[in-house]
Amino acid sequence: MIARAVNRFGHWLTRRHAESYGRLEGKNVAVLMLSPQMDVFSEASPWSKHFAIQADRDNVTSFLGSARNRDWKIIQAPLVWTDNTPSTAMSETGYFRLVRENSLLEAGTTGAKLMTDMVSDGDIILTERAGLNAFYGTELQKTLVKHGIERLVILGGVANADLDSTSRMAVELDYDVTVASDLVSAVSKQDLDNIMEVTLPRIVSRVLTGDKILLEPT
Amino acid sequence: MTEEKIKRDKTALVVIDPYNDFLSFGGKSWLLNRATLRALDTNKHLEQLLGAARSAGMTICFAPHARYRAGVFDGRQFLNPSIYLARFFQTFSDGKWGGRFRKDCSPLPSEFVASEHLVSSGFVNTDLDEHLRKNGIDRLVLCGCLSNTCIESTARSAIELGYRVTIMSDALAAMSMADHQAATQTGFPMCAHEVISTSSFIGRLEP
Repeated sequence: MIARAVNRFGHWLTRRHAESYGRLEGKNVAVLMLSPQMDVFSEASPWSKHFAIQADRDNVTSFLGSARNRDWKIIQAPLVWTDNTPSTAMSETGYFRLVRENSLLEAGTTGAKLMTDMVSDGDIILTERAGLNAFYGTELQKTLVKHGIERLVILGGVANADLDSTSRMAVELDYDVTVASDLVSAVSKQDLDNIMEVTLPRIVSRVLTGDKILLEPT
Repeated sequence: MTEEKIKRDKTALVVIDPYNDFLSFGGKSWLLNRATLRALDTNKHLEQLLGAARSAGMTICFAPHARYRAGVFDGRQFLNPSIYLARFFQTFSDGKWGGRFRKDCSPLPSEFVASEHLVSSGFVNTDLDEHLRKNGIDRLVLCGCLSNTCIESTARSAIELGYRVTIMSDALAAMSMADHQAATQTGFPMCAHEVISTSSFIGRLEP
């Protein structure tokens, strides 16, 4: 019981501290949209057979629109695989085993194409990567530095796969990271809850629903 | 089916953050970690792992978190929850008992201690990858603290760098059983090739 109270005190302290950072304002905010691709969002995709939790296409599109209206930079980070990528080591871990076995997000296929209604003029589209961490093998870090970005809102992708790996790396690189908890996919509700309620609150500044992120004063 | 042997010349045991503050009675995070330390019998398993790896002549590395000292986090603009709490409570204070490795999990003079990681991953801004590559290592066996923060972050970096990753299921600690379960149920399947017990590791270690 004492341990639980200490744990709760720790969470309260860190929430209070994150509030002291100020808000998601101005041109130093970027939205990092992971896997904005047909296989993830199109109705014809077999994605829903494998992912019980799916980010709602309309909600994601609407969120991105609102973010553009606030002058937040939108960065699209597509994920694909080929016969030779990712490395053998990564191919044998959970997410890549799942997408390869089910032919999802295979480079060159229709399913790997970007969702046209999620991309707009002025968005930055990163090089396609074959890995969970959007900072590896892409120009993401250079792009963020070039545009003076200090705060990242991360959404899309799969909660315990690319979203988790990319969020952790963003924190390592000293960005203020906010994760949109309801604009992601997950294999199960349990996976989503473990990531959004247990693990990421120890790592990132804020885990909020898309609506709450947009309620943050600008 | 016979399980694959663990090759001692290509495998490194990486012990992450085995500080008194995490593992020993009276440590600053011991109270939080106590439930997992007891449930998993972590300290006994860490000792057994190190003993077996040393007997087999395996590469052993320690990947320590940054010890608290004045100004250690000054270069950072944003302190994430774990760093903020480490600064608030001055966890792993440099030169103090809490900032020393637990006696039974301390490196021998011949074993490699990587440069300290500031956030969670034992690879980011450290010399761990360079040392492992120089020694021809392609497989890592991870143990230590904490399951869903430094262990998982290190595993996630390791797979991006092309290592095969084994995580020791009973040589870990976390700030609650929920944290440990979040890692084992949800995190590790994405960043580890296998999660095995200490007895399985010892049984599969190539003589």
